[in-house]
Amino acid sequence: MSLIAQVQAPTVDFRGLSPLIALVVGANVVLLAGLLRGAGVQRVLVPLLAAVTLIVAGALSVAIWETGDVEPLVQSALAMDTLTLSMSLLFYLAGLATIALSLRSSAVGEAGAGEYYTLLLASISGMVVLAAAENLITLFVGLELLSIPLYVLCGSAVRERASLESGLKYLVIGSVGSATVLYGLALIYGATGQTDLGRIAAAIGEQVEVGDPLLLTGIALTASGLAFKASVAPFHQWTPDVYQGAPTPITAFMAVATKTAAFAVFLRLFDAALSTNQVEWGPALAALALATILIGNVGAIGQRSLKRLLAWSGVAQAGYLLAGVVVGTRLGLQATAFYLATYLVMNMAAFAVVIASERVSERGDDISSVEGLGARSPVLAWPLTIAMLGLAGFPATAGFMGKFYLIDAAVDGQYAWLGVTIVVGSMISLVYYLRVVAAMWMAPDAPPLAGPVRRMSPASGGSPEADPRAQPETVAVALVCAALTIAIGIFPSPLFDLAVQVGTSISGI
Amino acid sequence: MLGSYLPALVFLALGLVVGGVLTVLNGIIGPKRPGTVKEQPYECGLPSEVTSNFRFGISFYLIAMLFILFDIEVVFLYPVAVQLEAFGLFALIEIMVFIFLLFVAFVFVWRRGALEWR
Amino acid sequence: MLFEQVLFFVAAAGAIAGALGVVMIQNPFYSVLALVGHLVALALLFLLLRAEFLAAAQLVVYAGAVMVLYVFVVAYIGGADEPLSPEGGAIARLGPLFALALLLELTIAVGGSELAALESAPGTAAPGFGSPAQIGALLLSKFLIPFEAASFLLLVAAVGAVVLARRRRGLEEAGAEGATQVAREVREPAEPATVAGASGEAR
Repeated sequence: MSLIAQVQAPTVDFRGLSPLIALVVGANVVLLAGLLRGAGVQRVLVPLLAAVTLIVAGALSVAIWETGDVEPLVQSALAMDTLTLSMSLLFYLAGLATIALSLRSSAVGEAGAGEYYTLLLASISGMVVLAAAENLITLFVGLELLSIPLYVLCGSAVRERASLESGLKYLVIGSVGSATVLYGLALIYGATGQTDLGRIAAAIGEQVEVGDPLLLTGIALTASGLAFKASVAPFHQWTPDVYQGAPTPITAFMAVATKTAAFAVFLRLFDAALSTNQVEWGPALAALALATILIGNVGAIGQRSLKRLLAWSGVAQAGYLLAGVVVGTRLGLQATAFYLATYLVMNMAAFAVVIASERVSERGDDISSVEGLGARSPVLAWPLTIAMLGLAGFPATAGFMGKFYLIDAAVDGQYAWLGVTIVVGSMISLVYYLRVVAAMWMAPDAPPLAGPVRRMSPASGGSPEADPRAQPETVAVALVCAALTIAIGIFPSPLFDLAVQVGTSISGI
Repeated sequence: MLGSYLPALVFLALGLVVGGVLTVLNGIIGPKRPGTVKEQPYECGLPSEVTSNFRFGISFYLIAMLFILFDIEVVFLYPVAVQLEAFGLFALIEIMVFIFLLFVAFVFVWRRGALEWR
Repeated sequence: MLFEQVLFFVAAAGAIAGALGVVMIQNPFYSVLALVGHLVALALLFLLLRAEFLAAAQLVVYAGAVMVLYVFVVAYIGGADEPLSPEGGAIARLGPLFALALLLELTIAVGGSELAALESAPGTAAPGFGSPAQIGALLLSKFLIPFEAASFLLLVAAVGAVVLARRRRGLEEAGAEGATQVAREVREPAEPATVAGASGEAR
């Protein structure tokens, strides 16, 4: 029994764990509050409690902010370092925006407000666990805690066939991804005999050869599984279908937060635990990045559905982000973190406008629904224009600074050709981003549909709020995110400084 | 090495033998007088023979799902309970947190009416 | 020693046969039964590795509970008449190829690293290894966070199951929520269109 005798109760650092505790407690309170009767509870109290939870968790994250390679908590299960905390802040911001966008979504009514917001908070807590995971077991539990609520949320508009289809597809594909990750993690454990990321890093090159086939297979399987989650080509095929079918606020959340979480774990696993193997996985991931940038941008060109277009654009953006992981340098880490922040504001602005316009248009999220939007309601057209230009990487927007940073990191890390690919990809992307802008400002107001009009399904919006003033929170999200896109583009230095602090979180590189 | 499993193996073998022998004997020496009343399910339950396109209600799915969740809870509690003395109060607190979260799940499921048969 | 080796080959053959049965049998009920056989064989393999608690948990949770759920779901969808793979297509033909590639890759990986140990004496497990006591100690120390997170995950799963099965009596009765009300007017299907609807009608 000698093994057992030496195990001691761990010191639980409640200060470090406080954001996670706040999220879990908040999720429980929201769930129980959702059981109360009354329209006021469902429409006001429950979303408010969910928002307060996120704000508290965010404040606690800021309070425990500490630069450098922080000592992991609870016998190296979680590392609450700047990488985790900065990514957490992005999750919380995405969550707050999603709550605002969901207020008028019928998916909330169908799933039940308590259930809907609890699942959202649970998914966010899974993302925090995943980003913080310093241990393979914690990593996998975090991945499942992230994914399972999202499967349900995708299918939460239970009366919409498209939503159910989206949920089922995401469940099947996501489970394949999770299983692949688990298989890979098992092989990494089998090769190194360790589950702590720090000890794995120490074991590689010492107890295990760098080119050990078991280790390399494990790395390859883990990367493939994570590529499913981050929708990196060729594991991206699910993305357009799932994004199109899911309730649009959930699509926005998935596009932004899930991708951020997947890249956070990419950064920690590959840069911290497996950095010795960079010569092996670097070229492989670079090939994936190249394929993702090309496939994503070409795939987006023919799309008419705005949600599908943003899904393909998200695939392309994943390729850009992967460039920051490929190089395995501190600059790459900083650039990826920076780009994730800019990606959040640009995408949220775009999705907010798509939600606002699909709720009032009989054309749903088809590109013709925004035709003439510039004349009809400029307050919606401007944020979408800024978001599109930002995603394309126009100067004076956040996207330009982010891409500049990523290209700098790629060139610095001996992957200049990947930097060139980012530039080429951005040029291709102009075709479809500018098509949306042109539709808004140059096309005349779309004529009313002839023949049988598409049924206005209440589940995808379609409330009689023809005036954007009738959904102020959606417009507010669009305006704030668009303003941030411009602000980061013109004054990037505060965000740069934060990114530099994030760069200190992994000491080995 | 596997000698410690001998009692379990004996138990398994006994179970198989007794169960198998009784089933076979029943078939051989039992009187067979089938009738329509005997084909009916006993008091409640499903008909014993169904066609291939027969469908279960969705209620079965929900009950089975909830059963799994609380089944897993018990599986987790068992090894931790063994350590209650070694870890003392700490183990008690952690186990209470674990149970409390599932208690919330129980309250939710109950208040939503998912435990009622429809 | 010999007995263990025999047991290993029996269990390994059973696991492979069960797994093959899952994918090759057309009737979903028998597919599930093959999966049960596969899982029991896996439990036996765990037992041979001295992971006693894991073997027991595998039987209780998977062979016991999860498989019951599978049977219920198969019975709910009513599977047998509908063919499992309606049309071939490129993916159906490429699938086995990819599986073969993965098998080759894994064979190389495992062969390259572990087969060297085949001739050496087997490793000895420390006393108490795989016992509930040791797993409990690990759950309370090193894996405390995953342990508590698992409980939260179970809570989330309960919420998800209720949402998808649409057991929301409290909500339906409250009825004052605008969105719910509108949606209910549109279509209130007699039979909840959950699993069957999504799988049967998916493109």
